[in-house]
Amino acid sequence: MEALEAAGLVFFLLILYLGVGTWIFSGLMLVGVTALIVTLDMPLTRAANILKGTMWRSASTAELAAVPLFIWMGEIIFRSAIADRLFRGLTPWLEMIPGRLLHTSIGGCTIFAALSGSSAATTATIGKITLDSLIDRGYNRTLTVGSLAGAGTLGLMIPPSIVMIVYGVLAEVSISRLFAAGVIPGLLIACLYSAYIFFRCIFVPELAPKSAVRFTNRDRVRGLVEMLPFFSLIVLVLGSIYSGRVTPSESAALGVAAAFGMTVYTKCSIRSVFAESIEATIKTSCMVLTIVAAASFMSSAVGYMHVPRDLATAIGSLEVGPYQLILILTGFYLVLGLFLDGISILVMSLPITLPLVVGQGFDPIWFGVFLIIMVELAQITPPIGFNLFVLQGLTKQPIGTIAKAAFPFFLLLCLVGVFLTLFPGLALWLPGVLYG
Amino acid sequence: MRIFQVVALGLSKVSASAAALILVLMLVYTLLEIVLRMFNRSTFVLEEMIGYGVAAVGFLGLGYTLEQDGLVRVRAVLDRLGRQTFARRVAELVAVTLTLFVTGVAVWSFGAGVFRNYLRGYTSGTLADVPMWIPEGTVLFGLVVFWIQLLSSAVQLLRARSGLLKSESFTIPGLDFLWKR
Repeated sequence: MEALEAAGLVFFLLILYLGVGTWIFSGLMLVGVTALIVTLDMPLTRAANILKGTMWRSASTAELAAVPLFIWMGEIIFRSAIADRLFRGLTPWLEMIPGRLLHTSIGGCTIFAALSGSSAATTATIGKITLDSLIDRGYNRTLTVGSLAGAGTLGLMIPPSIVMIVYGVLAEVSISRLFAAGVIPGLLIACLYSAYIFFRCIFVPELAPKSAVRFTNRDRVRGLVEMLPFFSLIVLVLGSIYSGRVTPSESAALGVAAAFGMTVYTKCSIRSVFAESIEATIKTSCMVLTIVAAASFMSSAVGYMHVPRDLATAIGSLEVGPYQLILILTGFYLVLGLFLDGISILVMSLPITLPLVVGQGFDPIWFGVFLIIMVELAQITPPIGFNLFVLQGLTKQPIGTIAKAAFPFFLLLCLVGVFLTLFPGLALWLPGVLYG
Repeated sequence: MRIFQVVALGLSKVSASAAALILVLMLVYTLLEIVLRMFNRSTFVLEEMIGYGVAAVGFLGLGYTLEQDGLVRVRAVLDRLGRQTFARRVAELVAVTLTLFVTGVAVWSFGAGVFRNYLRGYTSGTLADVPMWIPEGTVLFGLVVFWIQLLSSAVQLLRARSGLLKSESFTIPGLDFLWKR
């Protein structure tokens, strides 16, 4: 029982501090300090020493450099008229499939996700162009908004992914392997979304009205040429990581340099792109990096209390099977996802859930991918879901309406979670092939 | 009091600009190392330097990010208290006081560490042999600037000119211009 009490205390402190509205990073630090002082009778000076030691160690982890660099790359591309090109490039290819241009949101998000590590940025970039274009052409508004909310979350699953880097650093697993593990589940999600649109539009063709414009093969080739810079960038960034010749941080640096090159190519003002993108990068990076540092401290405080070990023993004695554990965790994450954003959920639960899951024989790489799905679900569940906020900003519709539109895609994501649990190879096969 | 706010914002901006500069240096250094590797050469200290860089980037911009409302917090309870009510102001003050306390603890422990490293001349003990007070000092500086910026926001809140919150819902860091437009 002691383990459960200690875990309960940590959870209570989290709700208390975050509930009163402290910033996530300071809330996590408060939980750590309070837990050490209350449960272990530790003097404040000693708790402060642990805080400084763990926060410095995790803040100065070289792997984390991939976070600001990938954010920067995404911010540059976001400002370089990519969405128009993607839309123009994809349109002649997708116009003939049932669902027509609705697939441009899915395809656009999938391609942009391979260039950006964030779900909000993916939704905003692609949404800026597809929303108005589709609704003006008479496409069903609910399906347009819903598919975009769902597809935007691909930014987290398809590498590069900021959340994956954070998970890799905290769980001490290879970020390159995680980046490989996300590819197939990410593409599976995109295919399921497209299949859903396809079948709905077969039965109700009015959802995606036919356009008067006919596209020729020439248009299709021109479309490919439009998208060529993005494909080259994806090949450069992901190819360099998978080749094993550079680290994720180094490939991010290559990506930033290439993205600046693309800005010149697309004739955007490099000066304003540089200034705006670096400011946005600093802001997002600060938020993420300080949360990671604070989470490491909270994690080590929880470790001092022996919570993970005791809880794993307690759960072990309850004879909960591995699938039951995953089911319980899914429920736990769905509830957390209602009120918290992705990175926060991941960092604050990891010290307790990772040892439990690994103790039940699950691969930490697999669990990383599973967690990403949980985080993706959190992005589209109200009242707090970043993708919903982005779409609220773009469409000026109430959160409830957008969440309802996103609900079928929420269910499809849950389905991928089930597939992933039943067939762990979906995540583990590619890293096995690439890295042995 | 106005001077204090201006100074706090100025410090936040200078500190964030330093973070931006360090990020650019990290980019250039990483690219340089990739080029050197092609010729089978290396500076051998990339990982160490990049580690210091990422710590600096994470903390030096903290004050500015707070001022720009870019740090995430849970607002489910706060938003229920209304925008300009007494209860809201009390709740905000509780959150600010708790954060001032815990980041104060961090300032204190990092300050003691930096001071000790400086007095005893501790270095990283690697090839670069960096005096440890410098990289840890950047984190300390970032935390101090954050503390001052938070205090300045708290003072504004007490005088009730404007709340700490600039928008009714979340702002997505880096994407807030979508709303401003």
